[in-house]
Amino acid sequence: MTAFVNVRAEDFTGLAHRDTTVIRASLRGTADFAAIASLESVLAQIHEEAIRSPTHEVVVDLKQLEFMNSSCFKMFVTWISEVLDLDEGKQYRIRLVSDPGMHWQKRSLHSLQCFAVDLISIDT
Amino acid sequence: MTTSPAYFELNFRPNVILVSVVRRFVTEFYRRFFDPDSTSRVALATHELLENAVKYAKDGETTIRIQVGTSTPTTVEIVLRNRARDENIAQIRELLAGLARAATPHDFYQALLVEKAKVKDGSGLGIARVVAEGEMAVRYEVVDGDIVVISATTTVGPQGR
Repeated sequence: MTAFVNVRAEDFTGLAHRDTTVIRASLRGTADFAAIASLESVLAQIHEEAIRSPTHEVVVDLKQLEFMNSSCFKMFVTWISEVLDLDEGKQYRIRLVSDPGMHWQKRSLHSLQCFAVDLISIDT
Repeated sequence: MTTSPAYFELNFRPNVILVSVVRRFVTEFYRRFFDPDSTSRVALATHELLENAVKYAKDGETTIRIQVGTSTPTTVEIVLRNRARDENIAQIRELLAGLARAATPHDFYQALLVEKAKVKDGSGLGIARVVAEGEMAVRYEVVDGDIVVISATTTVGPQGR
């Protein structure tokens, strides 16, 4: 499958492709200050594609994401907020796939889920 | 566990590259004392405090001191000192006052996520994240007019949390 997102920075990679009505994305490396522009681009492209064509779910694999700082975390918050702002029929669910061994993910993803409990699910 | 407090202090001009280097360094330091979950949350808090210093230090100079106590449960204290502008001091004051008024740090953090979701510049979440996700108590004082001393503390049990 062809990736419509393929962003590679020094210590951060973001990929995404469409699988019928599901967009599957993966983020790897470190989402810190140096990755802000890259992550912003990844999330913007995913949102644009999700709106462009019928999408019921975006699955984001974070299992190889070592760390996320608050600036990058806030980009997720902004993205989720934009999905919440869509008409109900155009909203899509977001499934975050985490690795229990990446301990930061437990608290951070829980906070994201609390922010939009009906929209977000977390797979461990 | 050592029998005397372990600590280190760095005096440096932080930049974004150094912040990540220091996070990896302190993660290794914490790993000597804590379980993986506690290591992760305290390392996250350290990173956020350092990034905060990068953004708000008036002259870029920052001192960070990290001390791990010997009692059980173990106390960890992270102290940052730097010069800050009046408006940044006011922001810290306002944020910590809001945290003190909130029923729980989690409630405050969630309200802040809603508030900041549509704000374009900066995250404005760093210190609240230290408290809510890092589970650290944060206080500050201002000395000599513009030197901000931010102290973050938490306890870690012998088997972790």
